[in-house]
Amino acid sequence: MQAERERLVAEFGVARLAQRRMLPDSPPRIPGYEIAAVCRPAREVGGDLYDFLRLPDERIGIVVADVSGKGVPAALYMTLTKGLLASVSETETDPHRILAEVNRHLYEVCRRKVFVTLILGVLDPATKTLHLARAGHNPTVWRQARADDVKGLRAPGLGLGLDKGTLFDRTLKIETVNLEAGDAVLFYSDGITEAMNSEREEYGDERLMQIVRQTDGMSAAGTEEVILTDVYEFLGDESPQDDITLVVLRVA
Amino acid sequence: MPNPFAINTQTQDDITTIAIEGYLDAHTAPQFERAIEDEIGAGRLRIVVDCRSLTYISSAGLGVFMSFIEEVREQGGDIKVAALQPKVESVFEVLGFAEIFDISTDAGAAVARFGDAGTAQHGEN
Repeated sequence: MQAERERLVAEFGVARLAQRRMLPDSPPRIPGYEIAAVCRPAREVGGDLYDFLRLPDERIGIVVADVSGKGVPAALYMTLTKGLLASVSETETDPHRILAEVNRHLYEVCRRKVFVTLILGVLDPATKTLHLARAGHNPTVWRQARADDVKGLRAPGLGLGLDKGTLFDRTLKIETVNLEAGDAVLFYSDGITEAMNSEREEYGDERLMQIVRQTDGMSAAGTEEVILTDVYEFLGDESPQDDITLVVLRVA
Repeated sequence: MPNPFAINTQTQDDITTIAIEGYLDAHTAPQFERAIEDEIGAGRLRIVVDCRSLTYISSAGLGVFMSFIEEVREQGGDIKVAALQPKVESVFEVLGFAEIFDISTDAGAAVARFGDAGTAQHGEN
């Protein structure tokens, strides 16, 4: 029994490491921008993912995704999603078509009970535009430093793997954001906004939108730290129940 | 500690109302799944899910809704959703479920919408 347990613990250790290696070593370096990223699984392995895609036209795709369910099954679908994104984005540059293609493949294997929510932001560094394709994922938070405003961006879009394609394609609308100097954009999973403290209170969108106001002028890494600290302070003695993923894009 | 969950199925004329209450998560989703399967198995394809007392839904719960909708619609029926609480409603909306499901403010309105569809066999006893 003891030996069996030890073997399982060791195997989970391997799985955790393998999954960690699937995350990018470091965010891409883009002149005029900074990116920081973190993914902390709540269990040995998780269903969250972040990734960066270098598209054929040199634009950069920023991805955060969350597979429904938890543990090993979610981790396997997360691996599949990462592979599909990498493969599709080798030839495709249009965010709508990238997600439509990934959806088509996921639908075939997901058996409808598993689905993936995903946000894809395609950044054109030269024009400072960000095209957002939201597949059922949490809103993207956009901090406009100069205008002193914070918005939750939620363009229409279905989760991946739920529909064969027609409805998915029809529903998905790309939202375009014109970034300015000093702006910050937060891509994250619901592990942040649904983090629950001992009073069964959720961290929520509002807290996230408030805390990002206090990060103007900070680096992407500094912004990430401020936000994570705030989430963990809110949690207090409670452990996170879900994977926590956050990607911060900061315009210099 | 299991979260509270209850399910209550009632059929009137040819429309079945499945009322779910409490937490619909990975632990309770199989009960909900069985309740829908039973209806489909019995050929009752006009289903209203009354969510008035549903306080929480996880991805496993959402998966149950998705796993039957296509099959039921292909056979000429529908699964309509009624009376979502704000928290559950926002989960439905973020995921895009509002685009897929016919959602009404209460169960009565959802039942009435089966009539609106203008199907021939309108149940009149």
